[in-house]
Amino acid sequence: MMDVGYFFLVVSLVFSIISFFTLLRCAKEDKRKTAWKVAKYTTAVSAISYFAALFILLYYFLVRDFSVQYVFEFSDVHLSTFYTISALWAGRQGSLLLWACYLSIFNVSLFFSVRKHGDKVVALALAISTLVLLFFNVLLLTSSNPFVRFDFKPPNGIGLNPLLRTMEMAFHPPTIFIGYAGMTIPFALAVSGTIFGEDWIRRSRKYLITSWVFLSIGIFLGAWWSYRTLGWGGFWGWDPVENASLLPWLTASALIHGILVEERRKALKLLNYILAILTFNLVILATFITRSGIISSVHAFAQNPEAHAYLGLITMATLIGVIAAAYRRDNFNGNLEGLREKLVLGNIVVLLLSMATVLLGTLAPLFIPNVSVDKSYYNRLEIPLGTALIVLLGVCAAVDWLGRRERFLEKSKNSALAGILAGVAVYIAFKTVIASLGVAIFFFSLLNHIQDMKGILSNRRKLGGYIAHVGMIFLFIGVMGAWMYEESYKPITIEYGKTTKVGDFELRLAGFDVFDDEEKFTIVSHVEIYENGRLQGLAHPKLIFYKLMRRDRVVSSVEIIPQPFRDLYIAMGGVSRDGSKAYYEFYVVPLISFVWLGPLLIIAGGSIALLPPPKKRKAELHVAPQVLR
Amino acid sequence: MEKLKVALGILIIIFAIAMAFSFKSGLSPYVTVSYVLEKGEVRNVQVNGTIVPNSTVYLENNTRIFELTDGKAKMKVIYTGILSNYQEGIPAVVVGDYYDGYFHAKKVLLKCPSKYAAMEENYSGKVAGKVK
Repeated sequence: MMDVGYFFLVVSLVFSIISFFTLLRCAKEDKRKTAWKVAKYTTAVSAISYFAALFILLYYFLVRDFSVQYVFEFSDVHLSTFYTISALWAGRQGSLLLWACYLSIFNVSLFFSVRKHGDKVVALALAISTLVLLFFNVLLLTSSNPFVRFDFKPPNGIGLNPLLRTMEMAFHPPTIFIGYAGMTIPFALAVSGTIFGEDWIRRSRKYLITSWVFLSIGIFLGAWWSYRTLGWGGFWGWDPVENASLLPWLTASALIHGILVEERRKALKLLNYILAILTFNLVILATFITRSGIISSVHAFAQNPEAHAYLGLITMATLIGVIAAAYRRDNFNGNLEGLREKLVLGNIVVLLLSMATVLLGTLAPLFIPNVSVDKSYYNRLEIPLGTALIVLLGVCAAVDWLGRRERFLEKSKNSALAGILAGVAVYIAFKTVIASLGVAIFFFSLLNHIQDMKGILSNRRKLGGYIAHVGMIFLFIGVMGAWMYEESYKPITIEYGKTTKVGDFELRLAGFDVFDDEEKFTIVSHVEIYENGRLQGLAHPKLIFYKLMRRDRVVSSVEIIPQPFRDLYIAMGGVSRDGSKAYYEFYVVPLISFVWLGPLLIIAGGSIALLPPPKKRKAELHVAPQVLR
Repeated sequence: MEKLKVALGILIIIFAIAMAFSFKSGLSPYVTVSYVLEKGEVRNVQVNGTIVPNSTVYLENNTRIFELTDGKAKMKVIYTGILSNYQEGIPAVVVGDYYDGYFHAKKVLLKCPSKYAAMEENYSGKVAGKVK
């Protein structure tokens, strides 16, 4: 008998197909009232069916139906309800189902954003994004079916990977997938708008920024998790999975700035169009990389039947994009004028170079067998690019849309002076050239933004952008501090009740506690951390032994003593058999709080830019080009 | 506009050259376990392989010895330090020197615990899949 969840996936497939063909008819002529209605309802029904399938899978998790292979693989009887829910998206099949659910919601919301019956640009865009949805639906029915069952019922499951039992990892996939799925809409609107020779920028802005905000949240949660869970004192390792999510973020960031210029000057049209298609393709690539682990092994690529499907989708999206563009070549005329516009273009180029760097490094192991790409490759290129970006941001903030030279000089004079003074002060205090340069750039760009803030409080789009820029600037200085000036001490052995000295620090092992419950066995150690004799804090790094079917499930839990300008970070590696000593790794991570503050500001800025403009402002916007000039 | 295009073009070309050089020096080759054993002594290499099940011996001082295999040959690896989420039967990369019959690992990289390609371990405990 067919599984109920699988049945709902079939229902959604059928309704999506009906919806697709009806939408094509709507796109042919305007004002097809009946067809529009049919398309609307079929889209809604298919969305409801996806969610029904998702809830049925959730139900199997909650009742611990281990005869479902997916439930068996990612949960066990002792898993708490919260993490049982999060196990829903712990594997390929479930996360793909979630992806499809999100896209169906975006489709429905695009439908309801159109008031009159039949906006043919939206109709064709919806047809395109329904096609993407159908792609995932077919995968869910075939190679990624989450409802596969054993012909027997195992008494217990394998269990969720212990490292994923954290708050951050429970929320990381569902947020990042909103970002991935949402990027389908700007792509679909770009192609459709171009075919009809109509505007797609205004129609897609909301979707683009919403997806970008969620992508930012997802990446932030991933980095935060990596720092707090993996015990290596870092937050970003240029790992293929991390890179995969960064790629569409970079192009989407470029697109957000490109549409600003297009709205104002009718320029950069072709670039924006390309960016919309590229972002979508990178989202598909990212979904593929995170779900298949393809990059780590060439053999995995050849063996994975889905590889060809994903490659096919990317090729098709690119082809559709190129054909649509060739068909309406006349659409892309426009002349780039104005200093600020050119600076924005400069920013976009930096973001694209950064994307190219990450892409090359990520995909290299696919084309060159048996190599790995060192972190040094990324650092050597991304650090200069990041620095260039921050300088450009600072310059941009001082230039208005008129590009007046006097205003620029006047605005940047004080910031530049403050930057130089701060840089000199840092040099005198720490005697490092790079740090003082970084601090100088930091203050220059930051102050150029802040002095402009007061004037733009009512312009939410600009205010949001500025807050996001300030976030980038804080991220820059935080990354510099954490990457260049981190101190690491490992391995450290401390005897029970005694003290071990590392650098300026003394670590004293004050004692142990042992806890045992049905899920895990935990050893908690109590370590006092002294610096030059002064107590900095008491940390409780742990070793956790999970009672799972998997072997050797030992996780060392990190403890962090946060201070305003640095973290004291300690992880426990083991304990000797007689309990007389324990082993640790200890890190001092400077400016890490800025690494977290930065993304939070970026996310806040994006959200503020999404708020509807205040009423008074709306009236002004109609004459915006003249007023703002 | 023309001037801008030329400037951007030059910038991109310069960057592409920097990228090519950086890429070339950033590549480090993996060698196989068989290759290491054949050589008998090698320094500063990355070896790709799978941790042999039931091979791990834990010593005092946070040190462990385990076997790494490429499917053909096995070598003993000795490592001191923290390995969160260490598990037998999963792919690992070890970085270090091979001499006196042991691989002295300075670094052990376990494949990231990303859940997306989690172990496709079946009930008999046989490892069928791969971990990212």
